[in-house]
Amino acid sequence: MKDTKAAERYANGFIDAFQTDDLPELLVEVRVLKEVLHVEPEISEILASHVIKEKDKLSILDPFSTESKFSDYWQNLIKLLSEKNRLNLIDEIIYFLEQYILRELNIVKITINTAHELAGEMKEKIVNFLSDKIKKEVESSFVVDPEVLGGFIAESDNFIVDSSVKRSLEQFRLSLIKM
Amino acid sequence: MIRPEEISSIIRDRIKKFTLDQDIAETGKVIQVGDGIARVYGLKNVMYNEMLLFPNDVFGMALNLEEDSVGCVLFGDTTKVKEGDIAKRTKRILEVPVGEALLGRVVNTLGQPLDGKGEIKQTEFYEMERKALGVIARQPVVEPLQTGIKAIDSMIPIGRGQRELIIGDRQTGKTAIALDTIINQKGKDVFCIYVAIGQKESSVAKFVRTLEEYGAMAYTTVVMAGSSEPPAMQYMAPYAGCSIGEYFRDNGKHALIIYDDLSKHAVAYREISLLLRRPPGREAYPGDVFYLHSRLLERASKLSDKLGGGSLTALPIIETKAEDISAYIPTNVISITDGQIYLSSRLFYSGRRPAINAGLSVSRVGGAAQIKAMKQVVGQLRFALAQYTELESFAKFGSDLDKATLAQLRRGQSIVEILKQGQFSPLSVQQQIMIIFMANEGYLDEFEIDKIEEIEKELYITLDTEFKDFTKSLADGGITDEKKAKMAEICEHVAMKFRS
Repeated sequence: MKDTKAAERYANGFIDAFQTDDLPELLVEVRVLKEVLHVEPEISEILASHVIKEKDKLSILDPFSTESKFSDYWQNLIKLLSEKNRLNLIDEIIYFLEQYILRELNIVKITINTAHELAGEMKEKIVNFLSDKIKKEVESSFVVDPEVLGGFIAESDNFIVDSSVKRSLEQFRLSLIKM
Repeated sequence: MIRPEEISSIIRDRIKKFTLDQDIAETGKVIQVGDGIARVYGLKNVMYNEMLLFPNDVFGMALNLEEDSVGCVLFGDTTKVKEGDIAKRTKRILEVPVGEALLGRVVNTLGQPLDGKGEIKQTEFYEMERKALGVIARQPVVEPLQTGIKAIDSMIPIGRGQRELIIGDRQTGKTAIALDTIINQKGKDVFCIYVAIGQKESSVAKFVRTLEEYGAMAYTTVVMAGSSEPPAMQYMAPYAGCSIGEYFRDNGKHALIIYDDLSKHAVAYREISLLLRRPPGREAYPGDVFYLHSRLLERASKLSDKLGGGSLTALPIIETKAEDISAYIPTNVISITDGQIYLSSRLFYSGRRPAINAGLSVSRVGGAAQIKAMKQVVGQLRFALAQYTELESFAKFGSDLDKATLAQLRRGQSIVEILKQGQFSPLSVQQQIMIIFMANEGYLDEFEIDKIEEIEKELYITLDTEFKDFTKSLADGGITDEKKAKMAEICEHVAMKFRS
């Protein structure tokens, strides 16, 4: 595992330096970067490589800082990471940035596991239910998992809402054992 | 006979009553697991000592709350937890069931039965880690806790609410003292808890069987964390046992808890601490190993009358290596407790059993709880014994000793002889008073040493048959001149039988 503590500190430092109220815009930039790194995993590999010189790594990232409409802060962050030999942490830094912004915007990412593909209306109902329950805006993604049997299991990074038939049956089994 | 219709109707009833609900829990992800330890990412709001639930119903306890992860110990089968698993918060500090339903049972650290006698139906739970009571809630030790062992009840008396350490090398009779003390509590309204930490399961089974034989299991709970249990179970076992004892204390009753033994407890804690990467200190124990035992033993107390006057007496056991009582853990526990009973292997192998070294043993508060008659009769017993030990070495030189010294030696031999006591033969306080009186007043000096055991037996029979009423009154109040005369008369009466 990479040094998550250092990555989290860089992410916090970046937010402190950025001093913006426009967090939704920053979130868009963070997500674009995340997508780029996800689609092109070679970039992360190059940045983590000890063989490639920092100067060459910077030149690879050059078009991103000069030709894109991204804020200047990104350019500075990349330079700083290069200077400190921490370009390998870019994935983690972006992860922590996204976490931070979502937390500030009171948004939570939830993966909802269901036994079957649900209709749009039902999906909306579940999302609203969860949003009410946790008092946060929900960014949902639905996954079909036949093991759930019925109902749903909503998972985020730090909580789980289990309203599945699988759990209910397990509870029922335990209640019969205790009889 | 069970009827199938009844069972199916119960199940149908259960199905009808069953409702679907949601389970909402804060979670974290296991990033590392091994050696009974798991490191969990997330769980930002987790509390110190909070129970965590892992898949396959394995429980853990949060011990290290770090910046980005939580270090926890696992209580169940650690092979069932793997990297990437979800750990759920329970929002409950580790608890143990308490109450009278636990009497006569053998349970593990979590209060689950190990004796195959079925589920323990318990509704009341106590947190395992509870803060010790403050000064206002306590009162000084005032009542004696009779062990039934002459050497202890006379020279190292224990009071209810006291913490008295039993210390000695392996195979010197530490557990035997604990066992005798439990057996002696029969009919005395003292509930007993025996906590076995890192012990062989066969030894504990033997211990339980002995308690059953003497009818002592009826008022005893055995908390067992054997040597095959994970270190976390061994670490928490004494705290669980203490909570079980505190329930009795808080309800105005008296309880006795035996921790067998705290050296193995410290070793289990050292293992956990090292695996959790806490910095090691002396003998690789972590920095808080003193607090580990002080917070446990501080929970033993005598409650004020306003709070019911209940008590929890603790008898921790420490095993020394090569009689080294100045090692780290022994010195720690000696300084925490209100005295110690030191068992010497040298005395043990020379035939003195219990092998209590009176010189190194002390009870700091128990004297106040000793009954008046015993206090009067004991008088110079410890002093005479100390003098004898010193003179013993001279005795080796033989005939050059003067008459007074020889008499002193002879008295010492009698005292040593009467302090010997077989296992499982606890004595009432009246019997103890009489035999000590007999030795102190020199009634035994005229007889051969090997006759003393026989005389002692005869004395007890005489007391139980010919002087039953007087014997009963012996423990009430002090020894008046009148009583003393009667006691002398009894001693003379017994001695007469052996003069030929």
